Amino acid sequence: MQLDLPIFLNLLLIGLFQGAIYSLISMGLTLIFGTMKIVNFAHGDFLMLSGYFVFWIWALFGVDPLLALPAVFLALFCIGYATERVLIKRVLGRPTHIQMLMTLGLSLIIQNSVIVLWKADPRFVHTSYADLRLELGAVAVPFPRLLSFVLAMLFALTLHLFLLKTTYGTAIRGTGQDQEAAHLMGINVNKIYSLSFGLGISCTAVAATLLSTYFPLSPFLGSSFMVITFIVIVLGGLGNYLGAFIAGLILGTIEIFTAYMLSSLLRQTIPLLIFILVLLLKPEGLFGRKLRR
Amino acid sequence: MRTICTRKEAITRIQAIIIVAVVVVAAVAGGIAWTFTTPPTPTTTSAAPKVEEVRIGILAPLTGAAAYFGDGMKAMSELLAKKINDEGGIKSLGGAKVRMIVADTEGKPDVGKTQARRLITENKVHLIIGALHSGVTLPAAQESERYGIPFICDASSHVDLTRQGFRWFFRTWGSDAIFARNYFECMKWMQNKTGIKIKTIAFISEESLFGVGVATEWEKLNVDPEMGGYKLVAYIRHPVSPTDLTSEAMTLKAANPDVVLSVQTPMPDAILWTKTLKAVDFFPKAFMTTAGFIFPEYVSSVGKDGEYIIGREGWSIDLTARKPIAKEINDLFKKEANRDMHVYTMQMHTTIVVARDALERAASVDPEKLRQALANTDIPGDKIIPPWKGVKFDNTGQNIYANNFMVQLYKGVYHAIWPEEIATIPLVYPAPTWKER
Amino acid sequence: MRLGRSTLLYLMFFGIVCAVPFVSSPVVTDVLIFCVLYAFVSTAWTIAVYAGPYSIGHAAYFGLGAYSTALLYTRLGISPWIGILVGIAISSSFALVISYPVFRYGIKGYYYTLTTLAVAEIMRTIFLAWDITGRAVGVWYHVVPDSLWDFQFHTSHVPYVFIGVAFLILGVFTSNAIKKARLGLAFSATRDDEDTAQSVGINTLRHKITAVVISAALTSIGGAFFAQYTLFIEPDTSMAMFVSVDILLPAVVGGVGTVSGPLIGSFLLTPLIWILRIAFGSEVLHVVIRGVVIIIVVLFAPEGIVGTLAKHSGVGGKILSIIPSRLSSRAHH
Repeated sequence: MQLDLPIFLNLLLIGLFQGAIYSLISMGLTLIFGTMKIVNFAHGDFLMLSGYFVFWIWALFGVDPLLALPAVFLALFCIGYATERVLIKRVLGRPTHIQMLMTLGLSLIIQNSVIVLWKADPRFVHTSYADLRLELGAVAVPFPRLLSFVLAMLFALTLHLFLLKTTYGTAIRGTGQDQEAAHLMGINVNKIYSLSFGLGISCTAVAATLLSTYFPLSPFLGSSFMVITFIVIVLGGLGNYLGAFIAGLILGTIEIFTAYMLSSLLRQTIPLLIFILVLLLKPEGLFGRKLRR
Repeated sequence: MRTICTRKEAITRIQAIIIVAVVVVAAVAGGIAWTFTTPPTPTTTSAAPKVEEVRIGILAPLTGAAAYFGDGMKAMSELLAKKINDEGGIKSLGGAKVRMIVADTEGKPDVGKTQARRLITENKVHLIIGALHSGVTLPAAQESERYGIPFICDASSHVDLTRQGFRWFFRTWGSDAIFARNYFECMKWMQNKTGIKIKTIAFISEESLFGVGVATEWEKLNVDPEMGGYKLVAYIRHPVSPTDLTSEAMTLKAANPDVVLSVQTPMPDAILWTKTLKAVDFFPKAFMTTAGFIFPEYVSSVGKDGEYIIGREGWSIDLTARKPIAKEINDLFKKEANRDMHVYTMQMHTTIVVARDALERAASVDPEKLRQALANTDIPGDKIIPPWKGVKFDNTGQNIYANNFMVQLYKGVYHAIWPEEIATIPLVYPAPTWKER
Repeated sequence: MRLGRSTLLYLMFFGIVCAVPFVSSPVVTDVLIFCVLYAFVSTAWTIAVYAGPYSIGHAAYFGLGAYSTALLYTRLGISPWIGILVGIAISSSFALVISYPVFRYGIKGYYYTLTTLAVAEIMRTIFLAWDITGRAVGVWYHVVPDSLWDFQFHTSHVPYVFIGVAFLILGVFTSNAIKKARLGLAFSATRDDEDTAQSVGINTLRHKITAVVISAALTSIGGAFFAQYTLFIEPDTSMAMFVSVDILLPAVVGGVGTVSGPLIGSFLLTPLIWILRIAFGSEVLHVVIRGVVIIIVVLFAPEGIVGTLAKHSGVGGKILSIIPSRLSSRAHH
């Protein structure tokens, strides 16, 4: 495929924009893993659920997604928190297959409950800026996507600062590194678990809000994003949110270029192959900690 | 995982006996319970006592990605059962009531197959209608073939379905071969009408059974110099429900075809394509699509961006102006089911009309008599909604009159544009570019 | 003799399973076939888990078995029985080729589990795109009259039950044999503490690979069986993630790492899912209920039926249960 400079730049930009969304979703998932050592297979469905929150706030009250963002963030945080308290907490420390099954069961329930409630119709939010394009020479960038990218970066930065500088953030990171030590230091580990899960889910809320400005919503939204999310969190090192951030951007770019230069059918295959190759060279992911026994 | 001692089984002998006994008893009891909780069935020989009830099995995807379509199919089937019964049921059977038994296929072949078997052996349905997915219709039709129960396919279009040598299989819908012709015939007409030659075309197909089936027929027709012979400058194959289509749209733009033929089944994919084409600022002279593009929710989602898209359709709201039956059913559906009609709900109606007609003529629920009646179907066009000459099956069970027409989205509504006899608006070709709109 | 009694129990069980089709309705027979099939592939999955971390990518082997049989039969007219053997060869080789570098280079725990998912997804996307495998159209069988050699039965599905039980016996036998033999001890040592196992001279690499290869071979037989039953194979219903989940679900419900667990799990779960499909199948709700059932099982019987029963009965319980406390993070494998 022809690759002149404008096309290259276009692809690169879209790749980064796409990757930013992957980063957001993955950061949430990897945070949950880092703290609680559980892979949340229902993560994509929480993303979808967030999307429906955004949609209904827009459809019923006419509020633009980006303005509704804080409300959606909060709502999904509460839902995540509650889910952890009621369900997830009961499988912590249990074997992998139990945790997997719990979140898989949750996924079935969420996805099909949405179908029962709101049918399988696709939904689309119409924003006033949906059709704006920024043109810099031969490179044209859709405004909603650029905006999403910028906001995603801001959120990632905020998240980073939160985890680095605040008490709760430090507690989350500490619990992730060493639960016993955290417990001994007086941290209410149970509360941290609920917080982490809530925070992880609200990352999907942010991603869903940004997506809603240009991407259609259906009960199956989560399924589309899950595979790439798994690749990203592993590549970035399970539990490492900075790793997930970078890996998301990288994989988004690879996916976009693969689809253009090779074939759209390989858009996931290549990242999957890269995933395996990287693991072979570095079994703990690009930025993961060396695996303890 | 906990350590399992390898030297002995994890359960004691007595526990094992209890477990096995419980399982087996449960399984056997369940089986017996099923067998006896299905409604008592009348015998189906023609010398039987009066038939009280005609049971029709409906196979449709109520869950999974095609849930939207299956939901409409189910709603239409139940609505029509009520209508038929209100009108006195099947008169030649002494007013026997029609009952629809809907089964979710989940879009999976093994589920569809067993549901079909269940409908036939447990619910004792007299015929089956379904199943939308060609890959589910196939195994399900194998079951009806084995049991000798008529299977009327309402919406699966794969060409091979009528090439299996089935006796009990009938299809009211067209095949991908028929529909592919519609595209190329329309393209010829567009050239003649506007005097603008089409030189280059592109195909976009999702990698699904339907997508591949359709695109394969396009390929075949394009190499036929009589029907096709256009230069294929891009052939984009993409996975179903991708997370982004920018690369694909840019590929299309770089190839710059005159006409694009595109098939996407899920509406979100259709919506994404439309939005992405706008984002990369490319729109061909004609964008000819089907499936995901031709449903009401697509139109409401893309708004003005969908203007000028051409769709291969079976249903159009225009039909309500031209065909009384279309208006009648559309009004009824909107009133009772509170939804707009779409092509698959239309097809459910067509197929149920055929079923009712066959039942009336057979005056029996005997499978062979019913099959004969179906084989002899010759329903005039005014009894069905699609603009066909009627319904008549050839010896492979294919409805020879099945056809599609082309619609164009104009001012938020899909209007027929081809064949010209049924056109309600003039063709807009070439479509204006994004900037021109 | 303990061994004798277990064997007797299993034989009784299989005997009853084979007897039921003679009195049951066709649908019950069909459900029974699925019970047997999923018990079989779940047993196969368990063998891999004896020695290593969890796989959520067994659909790859399932699909390989299905496609090998289907393609050889429909394109070359080769009997499915030979196709099964070819399928075994292909999936074992594939498992070997994948497992060796993966284990050799130390991919473990959750990383391994997600790698198995990646492998299955890669295979699915390739089969979707590949002309030889029929792309998304898959492989369509032509229906032939009932034939053992062609492995197709239509007048009655009962022969499928017998063949399925035969495979299941093979699977249970293998699973049991591995568990009881020295190999089994080595496997579980590898699983529980690889370093220590290595330090006493157990070649953990070889054991992990062996477990996966045997598991792959058996799973591929299950795939072939599925192909011969459905008579239609496509990537999205033979290699998708939900297939991998369906394969491991019975083992989890019944009790992971046990021989009887997958059987019990499958014979309880499969009928339940089908009852939901038939009783509520005209509503979307039936899948929601399925999810609820899974969660209930997970919450109230996390060691599976087998494990939970054992736990509450003293004898097996003490040996069986090591329930990690929430604060000790042994949750990774």
